[in-house]
Amino acid sequence: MNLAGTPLLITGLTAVVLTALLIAVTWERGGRLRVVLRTVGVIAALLSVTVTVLVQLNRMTEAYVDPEADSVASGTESDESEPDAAEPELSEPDSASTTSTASARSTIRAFKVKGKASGLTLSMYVYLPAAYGTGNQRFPVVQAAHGYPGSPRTWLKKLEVQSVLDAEIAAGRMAPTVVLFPFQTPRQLLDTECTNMRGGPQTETFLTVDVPAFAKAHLRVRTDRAGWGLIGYSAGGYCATSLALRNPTKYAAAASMSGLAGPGIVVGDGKEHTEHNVAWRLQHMPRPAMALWIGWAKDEEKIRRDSLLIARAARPPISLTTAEVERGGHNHAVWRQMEAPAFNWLSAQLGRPLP
Amino acid sequence: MRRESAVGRGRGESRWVGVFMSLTGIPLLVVAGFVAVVSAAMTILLWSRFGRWRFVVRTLGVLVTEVLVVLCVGLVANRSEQFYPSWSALAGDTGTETATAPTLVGELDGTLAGRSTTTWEPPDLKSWRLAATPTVTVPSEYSPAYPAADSRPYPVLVVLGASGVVADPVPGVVMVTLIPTRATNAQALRTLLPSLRRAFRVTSDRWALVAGAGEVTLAGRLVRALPTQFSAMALVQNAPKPFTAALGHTPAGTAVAVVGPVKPSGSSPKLPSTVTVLTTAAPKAWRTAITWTTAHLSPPLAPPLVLPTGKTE
Repeated sequence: MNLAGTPLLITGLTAVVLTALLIAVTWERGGRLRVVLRTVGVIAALLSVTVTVLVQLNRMTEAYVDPEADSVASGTESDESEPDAAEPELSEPDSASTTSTASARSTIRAFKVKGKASGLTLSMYVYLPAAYGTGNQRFPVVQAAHGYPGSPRTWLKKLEVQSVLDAEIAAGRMAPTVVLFPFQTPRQLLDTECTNMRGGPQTETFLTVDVPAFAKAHLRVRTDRAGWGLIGYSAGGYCATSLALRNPTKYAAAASMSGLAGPGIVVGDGKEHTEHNVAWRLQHMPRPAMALWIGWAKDEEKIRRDSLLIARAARPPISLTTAEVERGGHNHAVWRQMEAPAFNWLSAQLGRPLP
Repeated sequence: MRRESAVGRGRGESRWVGVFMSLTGIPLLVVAGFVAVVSAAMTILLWSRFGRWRFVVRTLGVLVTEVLVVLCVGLVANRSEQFYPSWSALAGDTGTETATAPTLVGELDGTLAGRSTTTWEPPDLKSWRLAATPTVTVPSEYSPAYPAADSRPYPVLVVLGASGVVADPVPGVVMVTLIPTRATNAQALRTLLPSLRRAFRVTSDRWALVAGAGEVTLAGRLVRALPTQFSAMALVQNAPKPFTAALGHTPAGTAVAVVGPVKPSGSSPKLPSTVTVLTTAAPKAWRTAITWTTAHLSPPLAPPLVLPTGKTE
């Protein structure tokens, strides 16, 4: 069953009502076992409420999903038997989002990336613009990082990224671009913040070595720095700026929507507040020539404070663009508003599709 | 925490709601907690009343109490994490308009109709001390029928020196060709930016520069004089020994290549490791240099959607 689906929520709500009814009806019953029966009823009620709340939270974030049994691809599963996915199956485009002409449509494809450098094998969705289907152009690439809790499906479902990209490309505000949506953790409860965790998953290596190598080997994309950028929301915003600054020879630009300056987890190398902190890096380490876009909501104090720290430290040769949403906090409505401007900006920073 | 009075108030909310019943404030939390406790107490007090209807009352009491407790937990979580700092944020209102960047029009766009190349005599031409009047070459899609619906600004390719092979329009860029003299000075040439932006529909930054062998010193000075202007610079060489003097201190944001029959090894001076060497036969060098530099530029894009930039100081 889909962990973020409506059927599971209805099941949970039904369980909540039934357990309440169970307590009400059986309170005086059970004779000598009455206490046991009451206890069981109360525990069942608490459990059902807790689980239902968690299911609803998961529906809101699309965080815990089974990438193998996935509904983004309209029932098409990624190819499990071929971990390299050299010839992955083509997924149907999201029904809610198509380009204006029926013949030229963008597609979302699912891949399994077997990371040789990191040892991680994780799923990745790929947005292929409508223009990918014709000609032999090599496209610029944007790598999109998701938040925590979250998953690439949050981009696809909550931020409706396919229809946003379709609209921006059709309007000419973006060049046709391939966008990658890799998973960022092998265990969905583990927040990696896109780092190489001491004694844990080597996520930074996976995202900055294995994912680009896979894309360059299997997709018609640009292979040079000028054609690669990063974007992310929330924890993914931190991922975008941090990964770009840590790998300035691989990425030319990064856009962070409501990202913190630091990882907020224990990476294990003792550098959480120094080399893993974007503001600290910009202040204390040689700044690479790179374009950064930092967006925040004015009423979200922590993110705003960190964004301003980053903005003030982002002196040349960093080229900085900022964006402020008047209010909205830390949620999808804010990121929906930032999404198109951030992608527009990224496309202007990156090199064009090459013939 | 003073955020309930400072921020988190939506435009449509009254002052009373903003101050006393902020979504992230203590008052709302207290009210919700109080109501939850009352609900729990009422459920217990009325547990065995209402005869046969007691099952309904009990069930409703349990459900209402559960909902209120979940609500309290949600309010506490929202208060600490600021998911929705205000009622209007909860309603999905960001109070922010996404705008479209203004459309640019070049003063000379109209004179180009049907032509791809034009000579260009800007007011500050004299200060540049060029050997000839600059030419501007645009691709056919730049002005199909002015005023065209397409308002995309084009990235610029600046060509320094007579190439002889770059008369054809380069796809997706406005190409301006300048033939310098010994008297041409990079500082004076800085006015190329505002002049070209006034005359033609071009981007404000992310330009490319290609210079012939005789112009490498001027090219190096020009990218240093405009350190955020050029994404890429290619220097066309016509000898195996690359000219390195111009490459010493190019801005970090400018990718640099030397193009031509260059042999990067052996007796030639050592090139900085950041410089790309594109070894090619001399006749192809200009074409290669143009392809390489323009690959660093975005295609002409429609004016982007933009958000307010906010105060950072």
